[in-house]
Amino acid sequence: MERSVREITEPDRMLAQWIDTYSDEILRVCFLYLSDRSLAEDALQDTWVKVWKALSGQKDPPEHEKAWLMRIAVNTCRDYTRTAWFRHVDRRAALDELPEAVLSCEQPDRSLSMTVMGLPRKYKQVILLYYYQGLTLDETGEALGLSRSCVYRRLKKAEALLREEWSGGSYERPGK
Amino acid sequence: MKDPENENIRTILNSELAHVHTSDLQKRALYEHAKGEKAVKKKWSTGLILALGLTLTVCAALAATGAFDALIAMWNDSFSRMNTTAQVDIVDEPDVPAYLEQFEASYGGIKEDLILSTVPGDDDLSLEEAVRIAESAVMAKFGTPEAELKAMGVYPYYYETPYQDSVPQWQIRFTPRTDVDLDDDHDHPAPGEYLVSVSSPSGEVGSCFYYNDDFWPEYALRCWESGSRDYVYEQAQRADFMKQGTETRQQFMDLFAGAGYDTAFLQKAQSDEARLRLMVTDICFAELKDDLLSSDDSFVRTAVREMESRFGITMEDMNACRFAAVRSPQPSETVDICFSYNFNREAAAEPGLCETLGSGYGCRLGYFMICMDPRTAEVVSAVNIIWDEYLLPSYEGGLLSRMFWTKDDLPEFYRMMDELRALDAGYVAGRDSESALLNEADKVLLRYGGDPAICTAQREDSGDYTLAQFLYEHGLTEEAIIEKGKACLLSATVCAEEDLKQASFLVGTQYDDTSDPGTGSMHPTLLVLLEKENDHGMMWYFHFDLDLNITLFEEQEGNIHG
Repeated sequence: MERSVREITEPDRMLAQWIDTYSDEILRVCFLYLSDRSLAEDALQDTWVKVWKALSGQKDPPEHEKAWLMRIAVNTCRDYTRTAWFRHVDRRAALDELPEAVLSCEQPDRSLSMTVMGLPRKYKQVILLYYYQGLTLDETGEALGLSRSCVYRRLKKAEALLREEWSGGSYERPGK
Repeated sequence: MKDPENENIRTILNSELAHVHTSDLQKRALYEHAKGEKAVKKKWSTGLILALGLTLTVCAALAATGAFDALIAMWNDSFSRMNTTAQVDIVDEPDVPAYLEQFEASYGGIKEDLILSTVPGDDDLSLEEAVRIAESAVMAKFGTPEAELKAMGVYPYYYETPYQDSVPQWQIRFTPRTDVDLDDDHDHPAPGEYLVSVSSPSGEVGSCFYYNDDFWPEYALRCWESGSRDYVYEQAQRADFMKQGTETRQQFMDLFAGAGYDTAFLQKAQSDEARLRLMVTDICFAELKDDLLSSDDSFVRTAVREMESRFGITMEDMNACRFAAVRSPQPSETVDICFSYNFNREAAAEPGLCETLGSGYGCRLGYFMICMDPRTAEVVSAVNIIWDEYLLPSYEGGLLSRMFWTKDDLPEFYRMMDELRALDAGYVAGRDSESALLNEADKVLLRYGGDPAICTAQREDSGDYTLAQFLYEHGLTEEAIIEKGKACLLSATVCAEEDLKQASFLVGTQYDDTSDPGTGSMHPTLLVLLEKENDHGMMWYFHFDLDLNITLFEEQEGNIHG
């Protein structure tokens, strides 16, 4: 059987490397954003499609690749949340209703995940990108299309909201 | 619950979400799908998932039981009636690895998180009884006719969780059909399904939900009496409703009118404005495949000329405001070209300061549709609407100026953009402070008609103030806050006056720590960054009361850029 040999281009290599490196992180961000594993997987898939389309048309790779990828992922999640179905269903309950794997031996603690999922969207975004993904203020602003000062303000409020659920937590102050 | 002390959010979330990951096989499938080399079903049909789950459950169970046979029979019956290709496979335990490998190769992955835990025992609520209870719950809550419910596919599963005090449950799903495949890349979700949880062995109904995956009028009708009226009415104002046939729409208009709702908008379904609204939803929130703006299409050229002569919007204006042109797919006697701001151009780009700010204003020029005679290309009608859409992705980033820019405001809009571009041009990353740049940009925006009160009124969350709104309401200025911070730093001799000239000052707000963030009082804050070599520097944080007395002062040295 004949096999066609396909040339591996630089964008090919970059896409494969990014998928390998960032898929888990993007999937988790989408999962926390959308509170639904199935939707998160769809969002992950759509994100990579968009990445490839952008990558194949660009001469130079983005300077801050992770922030760039997160921006695409967050925008994809935003699009998903605009559908009527998503608004109608209380997705915060989805996690507790999922049946557990039969071979799962350890009960995971989902307190923080549920808390983050329950945040209003604008605060959830900055928590996910700044604290969870470790982006800087600038990169978080880039990813969300916001000014640095706006990101900073939202982080402060998000911290206050999270602090309500926990006591004695320590958080990195933004601006570092 | 883990003690968050000495652990950061990232560590905790990664631990909690360790089960959320992609396998190597899935990554390969993602790569191929992204490049268009292999189509992967976006949504897994419920039948396939359950089939797999059942297969793994068989491996865990030692022998089939009566309850097990009943489950198999109900699933297979539903698969058959719902016209799905899914099926249940029984696989002996030693053959499971090979079966899974073949399954992954065929479908590109498996849903690991929807695996049945076990099968019910003799002391549990029987399947038949659980289904009967679930049917009663649905009929009582939603008014669904029994015959209609009986005609649906029934997908029951039983699970137990290892949580303390958890109660075994039946989850009964009633769905009219599984996903409908349009082509390899698109599928349409089931129009709606019911999901009922029933505890075992008590038979207590835990939850009874109706999931409306899309706006399908016939199912919305069925939910009418249960309180879905408002939801239905809301959805009826969306473009999806307008795509329904005349007879279907009339059914709803009669219902809405009978219930006292305003149906004027729905009755204008055939108007140009309604058709434009219908299109704009698709343009703004779907990925454009063809942008006609630069096209040589004769209709587009005519439409572009009409845009200028009738509305004063030139091609240069549209390019500057990131407009796109799309030929309307809606049935019409005319050829309709719609011009609107295209958000999706921003999705994969790295906008600069001005582009980010500018994109938020372009849409406020409105949306336009030029309707032309298909034979002569003569303009029959033209529509312009300004549509308030508070979910715009750029909305929250560019709020400090007026909400609406009309075509008459364009010269002023460009002057504002020129000032912003000048700020951008003078900024050198690494040398200058971006926060200072953004502060200056905010001042420009306010100078061009920014009214914080308008911004606040449009906010998604009530009580969420912009900085400008906060300062406006309390008679404060950024300059006054910054001067307070400077005075404190100089009097505390933590830095010299010469150093402060190089520092960045970021004014913000924060709720009082002792108050409820949603309703408590807000106070000004100030972040001062003094950069030295190699991103090293000092950072000072101030928290003021409303009289600008310092209530908190923190100092930190280190890498201030992270």
